[in-house]
Amino acid sequence: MTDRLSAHAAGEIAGSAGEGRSKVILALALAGSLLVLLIVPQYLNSYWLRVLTQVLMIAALASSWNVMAGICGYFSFGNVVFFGIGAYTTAVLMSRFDVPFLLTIPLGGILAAIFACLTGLPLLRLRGHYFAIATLGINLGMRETASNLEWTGGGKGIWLQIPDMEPHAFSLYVFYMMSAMLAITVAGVILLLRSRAGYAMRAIRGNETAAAVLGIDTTFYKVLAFAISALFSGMVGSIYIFWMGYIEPGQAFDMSLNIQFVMAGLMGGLGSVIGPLLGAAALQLFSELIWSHFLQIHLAVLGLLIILVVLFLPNGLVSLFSRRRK
Amino acid sequence: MSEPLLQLKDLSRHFGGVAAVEDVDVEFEKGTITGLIGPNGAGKTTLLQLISGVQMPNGGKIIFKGEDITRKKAHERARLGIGRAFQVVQPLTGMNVAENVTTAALFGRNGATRSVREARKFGLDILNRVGLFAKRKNYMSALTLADSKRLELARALATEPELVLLDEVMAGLNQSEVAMQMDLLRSINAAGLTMIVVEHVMKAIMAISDAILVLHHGRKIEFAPPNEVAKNPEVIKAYLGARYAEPV
Repeated sequence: MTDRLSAHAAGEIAGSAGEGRSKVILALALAGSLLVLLIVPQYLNSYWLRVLTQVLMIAALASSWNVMAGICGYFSFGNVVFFGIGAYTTAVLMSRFDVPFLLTIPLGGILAAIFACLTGLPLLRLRGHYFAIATLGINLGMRETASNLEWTGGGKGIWLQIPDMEPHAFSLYVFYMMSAMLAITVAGVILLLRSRAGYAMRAIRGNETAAAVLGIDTTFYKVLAFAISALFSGMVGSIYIFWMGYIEPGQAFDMSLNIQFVMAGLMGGLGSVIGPLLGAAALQLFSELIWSHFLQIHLAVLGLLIILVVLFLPNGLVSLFSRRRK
Repeated sequence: MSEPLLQLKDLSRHFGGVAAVEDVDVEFEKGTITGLIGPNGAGKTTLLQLISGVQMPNGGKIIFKGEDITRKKAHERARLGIGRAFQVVQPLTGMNVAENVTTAALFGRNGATRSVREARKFGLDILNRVGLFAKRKNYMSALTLADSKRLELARALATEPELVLLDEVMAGLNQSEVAMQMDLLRSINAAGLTMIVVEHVMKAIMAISDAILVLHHGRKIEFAPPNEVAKNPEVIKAYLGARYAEPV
């Protein structure tokens, strides 16, 4: 009996080469698009660079949000708070302490992650929807805090020194920074999904009671997912402030940005690696096209498109390409 | 005599004014199968909730392997070696059959020592044992009731428990499926696993149990070998109806 089953299991492990092949294809596709991303931008004008940087940013934010909402199953509607914390970390460190920009990026991420642990520990003991509402409140609270503190510049915000670069070179630099950030986020999500923690988070999404009875410390892994989500979002925020050169509370803790990456995640498909990327690209490019053709009613047209996607592809655009999730 | 694997000392759980479990005092010996029976609402599932840590008791103590685990959380108990299969199947949706058991093997009693790959292999071996290997890539929506009950059991086993709580793993199965499930339980028990089994299929439970615990209105009314329990008039009255208590 034992021999037979180990033979089966061995066959199964060999059989997973089939899955490996599709992973190779995915890796090649990613590498290919990376190459395109590296070469094409040199020939783009600043307008398109800006649009593409925005796409990359929304994709990175949607991927980070996906860690909490898609993989772990906890909808955090105020994830932009981490983006804001990252942005303010860079702004304060650069303007007040002359810390080099590149150094402030990880610091912004780490500070956001610490903040996620501090707020997550009490909040994530609860199950279900309270968490979503609480995250909204936290974001509003942080916005008010930033407006009222002196060292964050209050409502006036913070200006950064204009970097000593030619404008197009600067746009290219930011574009590459954002590309690298997206690559780091996607790599993080892929590694996470294959890891022990990834199994725990997916199990929590699948059924939290069952997960606990299988030995998963659910509170710990929920907080971990929240912190990972915050780490990446915070780093994106750092790059964003460097790009804009200016930050104020309304822009750092901006709910409409939050809605954009939530929509990108939902449109693309939650829980998967490429879903949020597809969603971000589709949403940003659509909204750009629609905006240029239907100036007056572009939001209505965009809304209609989103309704259509939700109605006909409830698992997101990614379900067009994959037969996996039934 | 050796120390019992699990002791419940005056265990109680109230929901408002309703006592779901009241002063239950039992000892479960290592390696035995205990059948847990009683009418609907007798507190069987609540008792399993308390032992697995999904709910906390209002009073009393739970001692497992000599350690007081009354205040321990569900995941800590799972790691100590208490496994559970639910009455209403609780699949990890969004994960296929293989991933369900892999997760159990990753976080159960010896989970911390395994890599994801090792856990997967371990889980697949268990799927093979319960006859689910061919469906390892299925998602829940593609499983029959019998298969999802088997998965429930496979997942509990993948945590490598010393004590496994099985809540109606035979309900809704047909005759031949019940027979298969019973064989499976016997073979698992033969490997030394202690079991507490809630079941309404009386023929099955009387046949496989070493002892029967009867609950009624949350109280223990009998704890004895099956043949004695079957003759106890109080049990017959509570569980089978008063009519059957009268001598024919």
